[in-house]
Amino acid sequence: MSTPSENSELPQALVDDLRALGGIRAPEELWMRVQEQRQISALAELESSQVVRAPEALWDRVQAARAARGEFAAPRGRVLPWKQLQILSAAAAVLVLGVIGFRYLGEENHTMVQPVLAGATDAATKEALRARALGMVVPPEELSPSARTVAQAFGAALPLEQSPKGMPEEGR
Amino acid sequence: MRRFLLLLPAVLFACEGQQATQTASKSTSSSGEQLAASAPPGGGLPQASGGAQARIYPDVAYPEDLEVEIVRLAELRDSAGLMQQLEERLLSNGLGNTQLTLQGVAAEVGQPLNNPTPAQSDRYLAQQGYYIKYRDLHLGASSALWQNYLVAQGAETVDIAGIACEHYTLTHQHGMGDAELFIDPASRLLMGWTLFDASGIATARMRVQSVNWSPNFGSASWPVPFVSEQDYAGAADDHLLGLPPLRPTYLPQGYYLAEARILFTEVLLPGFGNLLVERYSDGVRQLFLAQHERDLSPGHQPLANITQLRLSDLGGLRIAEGDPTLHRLYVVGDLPLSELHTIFGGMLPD
Repeated sequence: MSTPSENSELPQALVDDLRALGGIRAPEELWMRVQEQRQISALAELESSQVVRAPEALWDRVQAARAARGEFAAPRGRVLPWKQLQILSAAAAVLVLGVIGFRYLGEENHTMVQPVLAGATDAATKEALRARALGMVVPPEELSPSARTVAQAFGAALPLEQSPKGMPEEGR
Repeated sequence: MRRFLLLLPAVLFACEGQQATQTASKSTSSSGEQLAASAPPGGGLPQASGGAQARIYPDVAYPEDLEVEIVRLAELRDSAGLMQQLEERLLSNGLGNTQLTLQGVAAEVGQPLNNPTPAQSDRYLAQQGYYIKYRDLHLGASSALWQNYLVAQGAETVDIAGIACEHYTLTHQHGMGDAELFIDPASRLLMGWTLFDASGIATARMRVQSVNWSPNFGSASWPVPFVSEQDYAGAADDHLLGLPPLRPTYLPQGYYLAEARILFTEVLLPGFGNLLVERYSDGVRQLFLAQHERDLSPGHQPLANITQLRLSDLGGLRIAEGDPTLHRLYVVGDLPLSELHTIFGGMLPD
């Protein structure tokens, strides 16, 4: 690692050229830029080194003093680090979703008489549902009497033959 | 944590507020319905599409809600594809009492009406309440109607029974079958309706032939239902059914549960069990899921296999019937048989 003295030494040719300039001064701006660069370098060096934290008690005293001056209300209890706040926030979100979900589950028990719009289902799922039962297409005559009566009550055409019996009749 | 606990009621309150907002929106929609419905007729056809289109919910009164006597002609497509004609007389006192009688029957449009057979008259006598409630067209929730149909009022009136009626067309958004309504502009009475299938063929049609606004109830004998019924309130009522009902896990797009009723059929038909009827609606069309405990007494054999079901096309309506587990289940609607099969399968255990 080079020392500052080594870095301060300039090549002899450059020294000769500078001396050849005689009494001409360097612009003031050059000096200001050099100063800025030195400050930036110093800050970078400070950041790269380990930062020594102030004691918690000192922070508490500062907060209390600021509160006493009315700058803001002093927090009660311990101020939680960010990670703990994140964990608590996540837990809160889970709890809120759980409560809301429970509320909707509770409503699910009453959906029997509540309008619920149905959702879409993909073709593969529908095929799987159909596979649960073997369907046979039959003429209406091969339906059970109760099935025919239910269908008629819901709007199927009236049988022109003798009506089958055996299902709920609204009657009179 | 204490901060969170303090926030929790606020969060829930916010949820309540959101629900209240939704409720308010629904109220606004209802108001909108009334405004749209009460808009004067003859204002021209609404545009069939477009975001600025006014949503129309036809202002309609059903005969069973009015004091009226009507004669009407119902046409229902049968399994042979013929339009069966049924001439009916409906008497209503507007207080919940109705009487529907069959006056004439023809197997096909164009044939003369014949007197009904005793069996046909008996069937009407027995099921008249179901015909009025379930077979006759009733509009459902506006949200479903608007989700599934484009509703437009025709610029021209249509004459039915001497009344120039408003004509509404209900075009299904996904081509599942359109509908049309005819409404008396003065009384708002539903004077006629037609249901079409996906190919545009009429499957059911109703036209009022005459209206009497001063009916004579002197000779009326209001029918008393053989079977009492009540709303199904969920699991708390399962003991009335004998066993928990099968639940649908699949329903076609756009349908919502409009009503669930228990019919106390067991008193009338021992061994049959009480019937649970769930009525779903897409705003116009209806889908019925009916189930009861299977009769396991001797002589009442179940269908061959618990995983079998029978599918049949009855013309305008189709049905799926089967005996899954300890239930007998019926799925009835004008949907394709494959859809009824899917709904049925979705009610079976995995």
